[in-house]
Amino acid sequence: MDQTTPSPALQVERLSHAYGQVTALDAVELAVDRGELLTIVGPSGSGKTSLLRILAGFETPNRGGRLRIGGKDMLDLPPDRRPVATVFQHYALFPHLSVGENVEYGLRVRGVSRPQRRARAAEALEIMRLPGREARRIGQLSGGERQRVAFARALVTEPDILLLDEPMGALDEPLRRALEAEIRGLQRTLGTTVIQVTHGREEALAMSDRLVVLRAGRVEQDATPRTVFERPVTRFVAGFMGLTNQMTGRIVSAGNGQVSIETASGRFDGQWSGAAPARPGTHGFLAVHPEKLRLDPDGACSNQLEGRVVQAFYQGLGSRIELETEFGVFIAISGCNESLGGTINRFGWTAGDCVIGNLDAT
Amino acid sequence: MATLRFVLLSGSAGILLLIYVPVLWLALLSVGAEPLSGLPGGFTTVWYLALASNRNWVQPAISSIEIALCVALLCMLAALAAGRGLPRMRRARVPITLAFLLPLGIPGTVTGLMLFAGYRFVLGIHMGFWSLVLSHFVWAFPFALISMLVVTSRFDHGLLDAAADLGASPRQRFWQIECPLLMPGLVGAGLFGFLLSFTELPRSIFVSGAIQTLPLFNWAEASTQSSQVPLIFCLNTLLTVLSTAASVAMIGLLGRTTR
Amino acid sequence: MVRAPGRSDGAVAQTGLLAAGWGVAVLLPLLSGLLLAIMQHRGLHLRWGFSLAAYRDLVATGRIGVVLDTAWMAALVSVLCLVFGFPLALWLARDARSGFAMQLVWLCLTVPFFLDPSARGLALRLMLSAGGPVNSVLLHLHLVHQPVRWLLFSDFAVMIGLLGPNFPNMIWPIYLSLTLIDPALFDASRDLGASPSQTLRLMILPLALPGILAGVIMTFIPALGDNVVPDLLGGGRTEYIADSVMALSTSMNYAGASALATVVFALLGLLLLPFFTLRRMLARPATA
Repeated sequence: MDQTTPSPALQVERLSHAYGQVTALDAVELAVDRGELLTIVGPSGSGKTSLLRILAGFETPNRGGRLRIGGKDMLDLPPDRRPVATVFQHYALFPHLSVGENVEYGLRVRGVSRPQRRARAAEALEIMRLPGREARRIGQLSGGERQRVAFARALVTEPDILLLDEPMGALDEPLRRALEAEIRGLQRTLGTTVIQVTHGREEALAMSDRLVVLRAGRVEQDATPRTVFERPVTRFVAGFMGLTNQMTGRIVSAGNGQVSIETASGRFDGQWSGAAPARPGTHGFLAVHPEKLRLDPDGACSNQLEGRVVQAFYQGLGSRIELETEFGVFIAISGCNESLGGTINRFGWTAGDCVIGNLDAT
Repeated sequence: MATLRFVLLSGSAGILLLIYVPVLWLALLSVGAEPLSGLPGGFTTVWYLALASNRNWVQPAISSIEIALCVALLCMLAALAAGRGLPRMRRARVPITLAFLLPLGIPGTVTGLMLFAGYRFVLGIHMGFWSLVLSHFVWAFPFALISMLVVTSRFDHGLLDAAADLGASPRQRFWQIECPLLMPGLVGAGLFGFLLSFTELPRSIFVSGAIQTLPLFNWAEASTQSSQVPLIFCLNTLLTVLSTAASVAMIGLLGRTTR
Repeated sequence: MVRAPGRSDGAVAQTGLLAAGWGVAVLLPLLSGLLLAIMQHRGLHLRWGFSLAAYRDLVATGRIGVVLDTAWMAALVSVLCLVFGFPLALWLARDARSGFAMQLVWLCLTVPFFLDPSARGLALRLMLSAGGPVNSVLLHLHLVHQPVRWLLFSDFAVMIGLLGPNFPNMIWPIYLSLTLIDPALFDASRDLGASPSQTLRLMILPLALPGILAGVIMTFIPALGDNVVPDLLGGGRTEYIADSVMALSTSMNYAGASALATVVFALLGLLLLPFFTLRRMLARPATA
C-alpha cells in the first residue's frame, strides 16, 4: 500500500442495506476527500437518510459492504467511538441542559476537564456568533439559534467528518440563505470534511463541492454541482435538477458532441450528457429547463414545438405557463405577463440549452 | 345549555364538598372537648396529647412506612424498566401493557381474596410483610406505570442518538441524558407507590397475616365503638394533613413537567 | 453486530422479564384464585377434584342477589360521577384559565386519592349521625321535627360515601382524553355552524369516549368492591359484595368466595361488552 498519500476522509464500498423486503441502499460506492463538502440529494425514500445513519453508526448495513473513515474500518464501531459528529434534523439539543452544557457535552463524555471544556465551548459559540449565551435554556432559543448551538456542539469535538441531516429543513427561507453562506464559509476556514443530506436542490447546488444523486438506494450521478445540473446522466437526474420538460425518442446522429433524437414530431438537437458515448439507434431522452423555453422562437432555436396554453400563473417577474403538447405538458417561464389563455403557441429552445441522454431500462 | 352546565358544575362542586367537609369536621372534632357527641366545642389538645402517649398505633405506622418504602422502590424500578421497554416493543406492547393494568379492573376485596388464595395455595407464600408488599405493589404498579409512560412515550430517542454521536457510552447516555429527563415520571411512580401502599386497606385485610398496618389499625378502631375513637380522629387528621402535603408536592411536580 | 443506541440497552429484555414475573406473581395467583371455585377443599387443604357445589351455595344463600344489588349501587354512583364529573373535566381541559383556581381543583381531585378509607368513612358517619351537624342544622331550621334516621346506616349513606372517593377517578381519565383533542377542532366545529350542544354530542363525546370508558371502569370497580363504606355507613341493612367476600373467607369457605369472584368477573365482562361494541362502532366510519 502507498503510505505517502493520505487516505481519503471517507470510503464507502458496495454498501447495501435493506429494511425487510425494502432495499434502502444498493451497492453504494462513495469516496470523499478531506476538506470536501459533499451533498447527498434524492427524493424521500432514496436512502440518503439511511446512508447518513450508517455513516454515524446508528444502523449497520445488513447486506454487506465496507465503510472506512480516514482509512480505518468503521462498521464494527458503535456511534460513540466513531470520529464523526452529526447536526440532526431537529437538532436534538438536550432540553435539560443549558446551551453551554449542550456544547460541552461531547468533551464531558471524553473526560475533558471542566475549565478546558468551558473555554472550548465558549470558543465554539463565538465561532457560531452566539458569544456569552452559555447560561441560556434550550427552550429560550429561536430556530436559527438552535441550529447554531447544534453546529457548535458538533464542531467542538473536532470530528473528522461533520454530518448534516437536512440542516436547513426546519428553517424559513431568508434564514436558510444566510446560513448557507455561513456554513460554507465556516467549512472553508476550518477545513472540515462535511457530508450533508438534503432534498433542497438550490441549497445543494449552492453549497457543495460535489453532489451525489441517490435514487432507490443507488448512486445515479456523482459529480460537481455544475456537471450534475448541466449534464445530468439520466432522465431522473434531469428531472430532479428541474429539467422537467422531457421527451423521448431514438438517438439518430452522434458526432462532435452534437446529438439528435428522432421523435414522432421530428428531430430535436441537444448536448450529449450520457455517461457513455452516444450510440445511434438506442432510446434516448431530451430534457430542457422551463427557463430555457422561448415563446417567441427565432432562427437560433433549432428545436420548435407547438402547444396549447392551458394555464398561466402570474409570478411577479414573469409567468409560469403550462403548454399542452403531444409530449405532455411543457412548462415555460415567460418574461411577459400578458394573458395567453387558450391560444396555440409555437415555442422553441436552442440545441445548446437542452440535454440528450440514454434512456435507461426503467 | 348554560344553565344546565351551571347546575352540573355546582353539583360537582357539591361532590367535592362531600369529600372535604367531613374531613374538616373530623379535624374540628379532634380538638373538641366532646368529640363523641358529633358536635365540636371547647378547644382542647388533650386528645393529641393522649395520642402521643398511646403506643398502640406506633407499630402499625412503622410497618406501613416500611411496606410503603419497599413498594415505592419496587414501583420506581419496575416502572422505569417497563416505561422504557414498552414504547420500544412492537407486537408484545399492547398485551403486556394490558396485563400490567389488569389490577385496575378488579375490585380491591376480590383482588385481596384471590391473591391470598393464589399465594397461599399455589405459590406457598406465607402471609406477612412480603405478601403485603407484593399485593400493594400489584395495586400501585399500574398507576406508577401510567405516570412513567406519560414521560417515556414522549421521550425523544433522537437525544440518545445525539449523545452517542457525541461520544457518550451507553452508561453515560443513560445517566446523563435519559435519567434526568425521565426523573419526573420516576418520582411520580415512587410517590404513587408510597401513598397508595400507605393507605391500602381492602387487599391488606386478606394478605396481612399477623402484621397490622395503619389502615388496618384505623379500620379496626373505626368499626368498633371503643373509647379509642377520639384518638383515631387525631391520628386521621394528622394523616390527612400529611396526604395533602404529599399531594401538593405531586401537583407541583406534574406542573413542572408540563411546563 | 452494532445495534442502534437507545434501543439496545436491555430495556425490552427487562420489560419481558418483568412481564414474566408479573405473570407468576399476579396473573397466576389471580387465575388460580378463580379456579378455586370449582375445586373441592376443606379449610386450607386443597383436594383436586371438580365441584360446582360453591355455585349451588351461592344461589341457595341468595348471594347472587348481593352481586346485583352491589352492581346497581356501583352503577348509580358511576352515573352520578359521570354526569357531574364530565362538565368539570371539560371545564378543566378547556375553559380553566386562572392558574390558581385550576391548581386548587387539581389539589381537591388529588388528595382524596391518598386519604385513609376508614378516616373518610368515620368522618362521614359523624356528619350524618342523629346528633351530627346535618341533623342539627335541619332541626334548627325547623325543617324536620326529629333527626332524619335514613341519613346514616342506609343505602343513601352508602351512596354518599361512595360518591366522594370515586369522583376523582372519573375525572382524571376524561380530562386526559379531552386534552388530547386538538383545540382547533373546537373552533372548526363552531365555524361549521354547530351549536355548543351539537359540538358536545357530535365531536366531544365521541372523541372523549375512551376516557369516559376508563373513567367508568375506574369508578365502577372500586365502588363494586368497597368494604369500608358499607361497613361504616351501611349499617348492615343491605349486604354488599365485599361483605359477602369477607364473610365467606372468614368462614374459610374459599371456594364460595372464589365462586363469587367469578360471578363478579362475568358481570364485569357483560358490562364492558356494550362499551367495546360502542367504541368499535364509533371507530369504524359509517359505510352505508
